[in-house]
Amino acid sequence: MPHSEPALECRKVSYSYGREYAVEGVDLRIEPRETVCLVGPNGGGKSTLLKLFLGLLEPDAGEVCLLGGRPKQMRRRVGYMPQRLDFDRKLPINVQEVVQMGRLRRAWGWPTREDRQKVERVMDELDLREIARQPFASLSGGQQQRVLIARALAVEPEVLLLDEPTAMTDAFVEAKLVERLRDLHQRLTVVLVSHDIAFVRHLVDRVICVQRTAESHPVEEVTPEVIERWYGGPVHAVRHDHHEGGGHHHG
Amino acid sequence: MRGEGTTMGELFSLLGDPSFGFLRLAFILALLASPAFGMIGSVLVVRRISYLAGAIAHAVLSGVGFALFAQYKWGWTWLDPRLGALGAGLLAVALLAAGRRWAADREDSLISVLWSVGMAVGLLFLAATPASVDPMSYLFGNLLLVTSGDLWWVGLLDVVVLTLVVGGYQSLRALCFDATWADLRGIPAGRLYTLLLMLTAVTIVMMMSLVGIVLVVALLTLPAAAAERPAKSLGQMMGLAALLCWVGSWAGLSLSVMTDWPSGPTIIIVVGLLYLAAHVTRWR
Repeated sequence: MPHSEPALECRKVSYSYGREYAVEGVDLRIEPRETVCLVGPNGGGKSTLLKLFLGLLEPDAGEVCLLGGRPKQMRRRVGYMPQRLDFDRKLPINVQEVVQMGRLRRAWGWPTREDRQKVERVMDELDLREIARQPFASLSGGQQQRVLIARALAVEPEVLLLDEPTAMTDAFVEAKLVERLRDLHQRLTVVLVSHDIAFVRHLVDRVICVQRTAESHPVEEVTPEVIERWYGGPVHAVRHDHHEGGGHHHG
Repeated sequence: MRGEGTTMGELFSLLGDPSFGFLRLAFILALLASPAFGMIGSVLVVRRISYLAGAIAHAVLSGVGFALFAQYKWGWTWLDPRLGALGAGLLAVALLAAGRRWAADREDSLISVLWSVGMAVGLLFLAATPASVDPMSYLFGNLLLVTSGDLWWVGLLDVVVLTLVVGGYQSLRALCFDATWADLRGIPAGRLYTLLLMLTAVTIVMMMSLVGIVLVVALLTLPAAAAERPAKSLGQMMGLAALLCWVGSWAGLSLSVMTDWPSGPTIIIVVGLLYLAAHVTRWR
């Protein structure tokens, strides 16, 4: 690993929603251009950790450093795809308008020609051109996710945070996504949350198991036995046909 | 609609009659106010906060009452009731914004307080002002309250609302769709929200004289709610809502003149019918 400033760093970070700690004493360092995956059981604190990285939550104890600064100051350089989006299904808004939000920088003003070109490029890359004018609410869960990934990429981020990018996507989209992320991770720091070890295995440098605390493992060490231990129960493996080997693991 | 009423033909000749200038003013006022109503109403509807507009509208009466009282008691002739209304509306917005920041879990109580206390204060001031205008005029609107000064006032506010909504359209839309994202992108969501409520207060004051403060919220939200489904974008929804607001208020005004019904309730009934029609066609 290069000895530069980390893209993301947690020092003894704890956060609780009530009495129970969602994450406790997490120490974590993610280097620039590293791709890591957060795995762990539901409610283990993965999404909480992402929100702490973004400054959407303030830690009860410890410190989170994003790109060398405070998350609230640096988060405009981050692309984020939430796991689930609560939006008004009646709001008339189409795919392109959602992706355009990635170029939003200030309260006042309209997108420049450059902004529009960047949005178009991202939409091409994720095969969204054909549905550009469709209402966002009319899309399937997987398509919506793809649009939200496009929105995160339209930011031209230095750090990309994806909360379960494969939760609802179909095989085609997933393959496309893998391709895209492979290309991206040459230049970007990518942190993704996933239960899908097969998806992850081909992409990431490291797997971090989050279960209130965080424990880092090189990807080669992540065997079905290790996963079983993390998830605290048997997991089932599903063969993925669109790329070789691996298993699909669910807690 | 004959008998005591007026026919359509007579309505047109009344509009041209110099002694019925107030009628012309009412029609022009409704036309001028429609763009602001369509734009602000749409945002209130998609953000599901039209109840806030209700609280602001009712709080406005305290300002109207105070202005009339001050004119009578201290001779503050400069304090126009509309100015008082705007002041009270903005004060209500300040309280709502403060409440959201420091007591978000008590927002509903704050809304009820503004709603009822604002109205009570207004009614007391009006009661203490002899020979003042009938409170009913402010509550439910009165064509005779419209003056030519209103038109300049509404025209100016229209320009302000239009400029802000067009210039801030991108962030406004992001805020309606995904407030967390807007926040992440550095959009000052709290300040924009307060600005939106301030513009709401301004639009309410615009049409106060024509439909009254009790009914104005319906004119703000019903056209927008009817426009939500057919519209393909937020901008289209705003345009369509403005159109429905204009058509509804002109049809309501015409009906009101022809039947001699009070203008405010008639306009609201027509707008309500437009809203119903939009939903019936959806069920087909």
